[in-house]
Amino acid sequence: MNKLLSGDLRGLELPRDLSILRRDAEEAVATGQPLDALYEALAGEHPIALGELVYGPKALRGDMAVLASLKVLETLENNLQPKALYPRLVSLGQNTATTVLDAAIARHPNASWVTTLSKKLNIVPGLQQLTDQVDSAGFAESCIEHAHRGHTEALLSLAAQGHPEPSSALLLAGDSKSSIEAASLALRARPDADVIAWLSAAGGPHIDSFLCQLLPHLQSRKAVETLHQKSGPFPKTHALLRAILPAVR
Amino acid sequence: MTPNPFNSILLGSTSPLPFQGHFRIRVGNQACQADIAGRVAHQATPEDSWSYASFIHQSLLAANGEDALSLIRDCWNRLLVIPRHKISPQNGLDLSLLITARDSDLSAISSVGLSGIWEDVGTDELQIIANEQTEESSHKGIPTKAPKALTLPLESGRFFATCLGEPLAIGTRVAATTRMGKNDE
Repeated sequence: MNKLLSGDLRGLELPRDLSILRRDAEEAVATGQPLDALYEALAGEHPIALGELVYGPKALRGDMAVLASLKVLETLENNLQPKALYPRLVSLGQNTATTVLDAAIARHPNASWVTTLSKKLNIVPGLQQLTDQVDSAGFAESCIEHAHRGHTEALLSLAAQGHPEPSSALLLAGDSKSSIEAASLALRARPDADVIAWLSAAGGPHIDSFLCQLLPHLQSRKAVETLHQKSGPFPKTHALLRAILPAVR
Repeated sequence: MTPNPFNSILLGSTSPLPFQGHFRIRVGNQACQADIAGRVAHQATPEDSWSYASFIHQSLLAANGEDALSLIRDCWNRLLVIPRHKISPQNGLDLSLLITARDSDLSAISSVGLSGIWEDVGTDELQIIANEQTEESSHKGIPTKAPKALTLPLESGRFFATCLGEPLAIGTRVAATTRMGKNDE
């Protein structure tokens, strides 16, 4: 492998050798060779040159280059404001926009520019990954991971298809309000969705009052019946469901 | 009127769904009361775990006694007659259970399937009552006969426990609180 690509920067003098560096990096992109070692070495020794390659006017394009840059975000953010860096990275890869957006959300979950960026891209963060995993054994764990990353909209979207897992994941992430919303969406789509089993597995056997918050959102008799059947261990919820059962159609 | 806080707390596990298969129930009468916390079928699907946990909950609902010790005995008597395959897919070998009971004279605890039991004595440090070597409380799953009950002074506080196979080191109330799940009380 090329010395520079393996991260060996000995003899490299910058900015004099920037053109050599760029040439080798472009060649690597063209031939599908990894840039990770080079980027890591540049992050340590020549962060300005790294910036030239990653987000400069002649930045390297392509998914591989963008993915390699996500491994040195700490250094990149030191030299370019995140709200400029991430949109630039999005513009450089055809298939990596979602991954870049995920990285942005993970590092800056509350930044307003992240919301702007996701709207601009018309991407619901996490939705694609969750949809891909919906029938896999790891779906529940994936929901938990995405809940901790703040992908609430994606989780609610999956819940609206009748899946109870998002409600439990959101509860585990400490977002009780969204958890109730996800549970009610799941029940709306699939009245027999076992949300009590999933919520109690996440929140424990002390969630009686929490479950009561779900009741005003119930829209079908079938959902009320199912919950009533399953809610025996939660006396308050069980009693309320018994009381509203005759009133629902 | 605010009900007394629940005295048996089975802490959540380190798995992604920390309270899968957990249940709790308060039984008794004016003379004696027992708080029961348990876990069963935690390796099944959440739906199946819940079904097994609910079944045990239902089985214990009518437990009764004249005093704390007879109430504990009645709880065990109700559990011991259940066909093992109805307790869990592992025939009850994965049952963890902590019963704490009290009457006007004493407190008592009885348990199986636990790696540790601590008493909340009102300080930050919890007082350890049993560990993995304690024969009665660490018995794996449902026993063939009712385990002994340990009697304690009447003023005993809340008890925290960890399921067999779960890490033992909690030691402080703060650490225990992080594994109590969402608490409505």
